[in-house]
Amino acid sequence: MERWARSSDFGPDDPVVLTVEGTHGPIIHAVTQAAAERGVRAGSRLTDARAIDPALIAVPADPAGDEALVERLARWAGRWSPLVEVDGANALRLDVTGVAHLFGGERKLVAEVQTRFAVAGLTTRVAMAPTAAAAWALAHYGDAGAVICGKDTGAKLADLPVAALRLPPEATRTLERLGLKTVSMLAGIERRSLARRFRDADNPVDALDRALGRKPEPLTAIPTARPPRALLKLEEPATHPEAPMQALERLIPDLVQQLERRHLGARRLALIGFRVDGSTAVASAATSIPNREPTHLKRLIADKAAALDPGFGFDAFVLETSWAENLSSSQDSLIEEPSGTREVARLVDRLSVKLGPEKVRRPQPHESHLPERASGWRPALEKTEPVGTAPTPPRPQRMLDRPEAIAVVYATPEGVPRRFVWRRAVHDIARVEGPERIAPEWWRERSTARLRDYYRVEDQAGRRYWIYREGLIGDGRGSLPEWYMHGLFG
Amino acid sequence: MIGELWGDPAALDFTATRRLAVAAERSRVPCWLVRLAGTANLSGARMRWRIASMPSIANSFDPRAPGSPAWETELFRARGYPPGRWGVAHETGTFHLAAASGRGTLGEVERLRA
Repeated sequence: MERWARSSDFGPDDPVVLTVEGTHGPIIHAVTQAAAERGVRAGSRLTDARAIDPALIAVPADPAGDEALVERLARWAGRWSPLVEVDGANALRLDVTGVAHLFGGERKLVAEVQTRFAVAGLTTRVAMAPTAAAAWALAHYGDAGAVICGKDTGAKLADLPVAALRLPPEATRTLERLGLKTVSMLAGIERRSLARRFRDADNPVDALDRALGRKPEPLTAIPTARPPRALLKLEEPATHPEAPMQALERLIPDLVQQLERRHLGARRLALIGFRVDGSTAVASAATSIPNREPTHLKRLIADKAAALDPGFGFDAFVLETSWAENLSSSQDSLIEEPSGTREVARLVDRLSVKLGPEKVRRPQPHESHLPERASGWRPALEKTEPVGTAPTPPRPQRMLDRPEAIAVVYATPEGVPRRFVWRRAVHDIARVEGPERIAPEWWRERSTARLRDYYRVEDQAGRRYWIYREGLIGDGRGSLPEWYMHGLFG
Repeated sequence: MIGELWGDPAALDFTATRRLAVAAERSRVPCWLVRLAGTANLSGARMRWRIASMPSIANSFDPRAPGSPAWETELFRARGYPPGRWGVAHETGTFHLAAASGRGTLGEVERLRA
């Protein structure tokens, strides 16, 4: 609703409702304050609401946009905790275990969360509790304003309606019909009799146990080893274009130290700037071999960091390596001489940053007998994997991208070629070697693909070519075989 | 370092080649510019070769098959060296002088390559 309100041209006093399509016509998804005062509630049908107040303005809601916003906010909320989870359509769950002291205590952390969201123009209900379920219940059904509880979680939950336990709607309705309106009433019932009547997801005993921490609630798995990251918080939002560069200066030594301690080298590097208005800007760079040299890393990311748009100002920076690989401290040789591979890798990194990772490529062999498939190009930043290649007869230094048809005089049906015409020039073949028969790859080609007989030929002037005849006479896969020029030898 | 160019691009003028040569000398990296279907116009290269194909060396296993490749090379412009012509053959791993049809000696060519 607030996302819509920010971009709409209705005044704050207009009774506007956002609707989604239901089975029986539009259903109200969200309401403005003005509409709520007239008695319209989210969840009811638009026609019913119109009966209450004919002056309602209905606007179709944009659930996909809402989802995108929540996801963006979740990424932004990474400033408080490394573990953020999107919980449902309108909730974020942060695991702040051991984090609060970085922000000056739990109270201050909650206050900061509230102010940050308020600055971004969003209303929040914040609750901090020992269990995720309790925090959810308090945030949704607790008092307005921030709730923090420790040992008194049970007491605070006691007065909440059973809906706060987050049971399926049918189970909640059944409980309410039984007269069990609040959590405390439910807690008074004998556990066994409740467990007998409600199964699996419906079981209120389980939900209660989860809320009170008697039963673990599975959270999204925490990565076992956090990627190395360095954080810099600014006193005041910085709008100066030099700010990201200065932050980088201070973050890189920190990050490199972490990498050194864990014997890692960065492969992917990102500088994330947190803006005051609730969005992030990212500058990223990649390396072709693991690297933790401060000057090199800085040079890679500096250009992109300088181009970061501060918007209304950055108030925090994070430099993190989303992909790090093992890199033991190494010395190339006893003599101080730069080794070739590292120099090339460094050049590749810099060129890739300048020109784009797709533009810098290196040749890569493939496991294939077909000569045109046996080699290809792939981005130089990607890892090269050694490919087992079978020993083959000599291959030409230069392959044509596409074999060119040639006219050949040869002894039919399977004799050696004598003379051929290529690009309108006649070549008399002086010496010839072959054939080398290469069968089509039947597992990926059509059944009509023909085999090839390759010949290595040399003409009178000493020019060496690689030509082939596609197919045999009478192989049942087409008419007379054709000849092609496929490569040139040095 | 080996670069390859087709034809006579306008960008490859005397200044460009000269820059390339100076940069290569300064960083002590041997630099070869292979030009296909180009004309021998003005260039700042320190040494300029013209290379053409030559009938290959006889194949000892099969007289009808092409053997080790051979080239006819001509050094037509170089600083400090007299021009000359050589026949060069390649056998896996090493270069051999097949027939010195010009003036130079083997030692000289070895030095030129280095």
